[in-house]
This record gives sequence, C-alpha cells and structure tokens, in this order.
Amino acid sequence: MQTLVSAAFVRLSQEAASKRCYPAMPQALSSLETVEAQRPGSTQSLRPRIGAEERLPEFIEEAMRSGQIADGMMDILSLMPKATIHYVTNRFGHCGFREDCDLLATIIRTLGEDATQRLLETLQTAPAGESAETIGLVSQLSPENVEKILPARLSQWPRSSHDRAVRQLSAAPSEERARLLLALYDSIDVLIRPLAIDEMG
Amino acid sequence: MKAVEALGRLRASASSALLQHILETRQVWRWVYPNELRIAAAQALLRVDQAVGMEKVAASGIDRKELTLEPTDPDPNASVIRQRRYARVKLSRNLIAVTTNLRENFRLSIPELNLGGGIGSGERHLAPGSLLSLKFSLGVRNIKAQAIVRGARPQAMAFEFVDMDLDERYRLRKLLLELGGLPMVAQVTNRTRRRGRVAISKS
Repeated sequence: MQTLVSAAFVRLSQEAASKRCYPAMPQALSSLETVEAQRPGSTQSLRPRIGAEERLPEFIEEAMRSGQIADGMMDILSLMPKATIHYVTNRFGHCGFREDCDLLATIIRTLGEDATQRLLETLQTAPAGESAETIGLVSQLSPENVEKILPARLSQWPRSSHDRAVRQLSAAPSEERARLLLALYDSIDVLIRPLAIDEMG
Repeated sequence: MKAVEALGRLRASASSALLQHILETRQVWRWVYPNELRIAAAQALLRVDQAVGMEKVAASGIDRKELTLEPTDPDPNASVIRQRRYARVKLSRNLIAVTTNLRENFRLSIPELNLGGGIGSGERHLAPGSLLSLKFSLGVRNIKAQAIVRGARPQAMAFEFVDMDLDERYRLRKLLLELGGLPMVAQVTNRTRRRGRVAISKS
C-alpha cells in the first residue's frame, strides 16, 4: 500500500512540476516533511524522484522567458535557497539583456536578506573566479558593499578576474555603474582600465 | 584615448577647451599630440560643440575620411547590456594576425574588425578572458596590440583590444579605411531579444 501511495505521490508531484502548477509543489514538499517527521527515513527515496531541485533551472528559465515570476514559484525556490542562489548567480553572468538581470535580482531579493548575505560572503571569501561571478548581482542588491569589499579583493585577483568584474558591473544601472567603476578605478588592472572607462562613459 | 572618447559620448561641454587644445596645439611646425588622439579629440569636439568642432576640424589638417571611424553613441533605452563601441567593419579581404604570447602561437584569419576588436578564426580556441598579444603584418611594418578573448565559438573567436600604441592604432585606422570601406552602423535593435537564450557578447 505504501509503495502505491508513494508512486502516486511522486507522479502527481512530477505532473505539478511539468505543468508549472507551482502552488502544488511546496505543498507536496511540505507533505513529505510531515511524513518524514512521522516515519523517519520513509521519504528519502521520494525526494529525488520528485526532482524539484533538478527542475529549478527550468523554473527560472521559464520566468525569464515569460518576463515574470509566476505565482507560487518563489515558495518553491525559497525551499531550495542554496541551489537557487547558485543557479541565479551563474545565469546572471550570461545575461545579455537588462530585464533578465532585473528579474534574477528580484528572485534573490525575494528570497530574503539571507540570500544577499550569502552572496556577500562569497564575494568576500570565495576564490577569485567564484567571487567575481557574484559582483553583478551584488551590485544590484547592495552596491555599497561592492564598493567596500571589492578594492581589497581585486588586489588579490588575476587580470582575468578584473576583466570579469568590469563585465559583471556593466549590468548595473548607468549611474550606479559609473559611480562604482570610478570608486574601483585605481584597484583595476592597468590593461583593464580602458574597458572600465568605456563602461563609465 | 578612451577618456577623450568618453567625453564625446557624454557630451561633456566643459571639455571643449581641452579638446581644442589637443586638436590644435603645435610646436613649431609639428602637432604636439599624436594623430590618433587628435582624431579622437576632433570626434569628441564635434559632439560636444558641433559649430566649433567643424571650424576647428577644417583647420586641423585631419582628413575627413579619417573621422568616419568613430565611437558609436550608446542607445540609453536599449535593453542590451553591452552595446558595440564602434561600428562593425567587414573587410574586403581577411586580415591575418599572429599571436605572439602563447607557448603555441597560431594565426587568426579576421573577416571583421574595428578599432575596438574583431572576430577571427584560427586553429586554436582560447577561453574567454585570455589575454592575446596580436601582430598584424602589413608589408614591412606591423601593428601590435593586446586583446582579450571574448566569446569563443567553434568557427570564430571574438576579441577586444585592451592596449595598443597610439601610432599603431592610427595605422589600424588607415588599414580599416583601406580594407573596410564605410562602417556598418551598429543598431542594438538588430540584436533580437531571444528570451531564455544566452546572448553572445560582441566587441
């Protein structure tokens, strides 16, 4: 009986995900937690089969295609903050359009202050490559911290990360971008400074 | 150089006197500032103060043709994050450049180039962000530049210049005018919005 109920539960949850019925998914995940509390270990095999985390990229891409965050989607993403931050950070670095960047920043903002703090921690402590990828998002969420943290970090980074930093900052709104680049200018590698000036003016 | 171009883009009227100074200053019978900087100053001055700019350019000895390769104005309403700095120039024949800073150097065949960078195909592909020292051979003289690799696709590799001697940049300008004809005006509207797809940045 338990096997059949589990299979039906997984099937319905998968169907909710594929039909983008977002409000049903947190409900399914919450039900799993209730069952887990009553019968510890019984849901371990169900979670990966529902595959909410694997579908996270699909959900975010769907939001970017439609230009809006669907009802209930943030509730699911809030259940997987680490994976959401990771995907959004990488996706931000490949965005070519301002609206996409704004939408991704909104997702992180909606996740709450913890998400911004986590990004700031990455900016402050992660290795150059990983840290540089957070600059674009953090410049939208907390520009004053970019100005505070980045000069010291740039001094430890290779030239390629300086280039990445300037490109990440190109997604910031024009006035904020110019202000940040001006504040960082002396810390930027000499070869990358012409690119920074291009982004300022 | 980049700062002078930025003054023009920003229409910084307070810079008019400085731009005129760069354009006009002579020492005996020679211009004090390099040709390339004077051209950039002339282009900026034409944006900052067109009437004065036209008057000064006429007396500057700069060939009007040399002014045709100019920085483009960014479209403030465009949703594209990175807009072309210079109009794209399709060359009448591919230009060959050789890398000089790698353990295994290679040749790049370049069909499109402008003062900001270009796109070329070669036997090797490098990761975006790699620094390249490039040498373009032109008869007995060369143009040397440092460039950063941008998007690398199977058939082509985009690169952006980050450092070039001003005299060499002037030679590149002349070469582009000789091989490229008139630049194609960059229009961000030509870059269609493909939702959910990754946009490939262009130099």
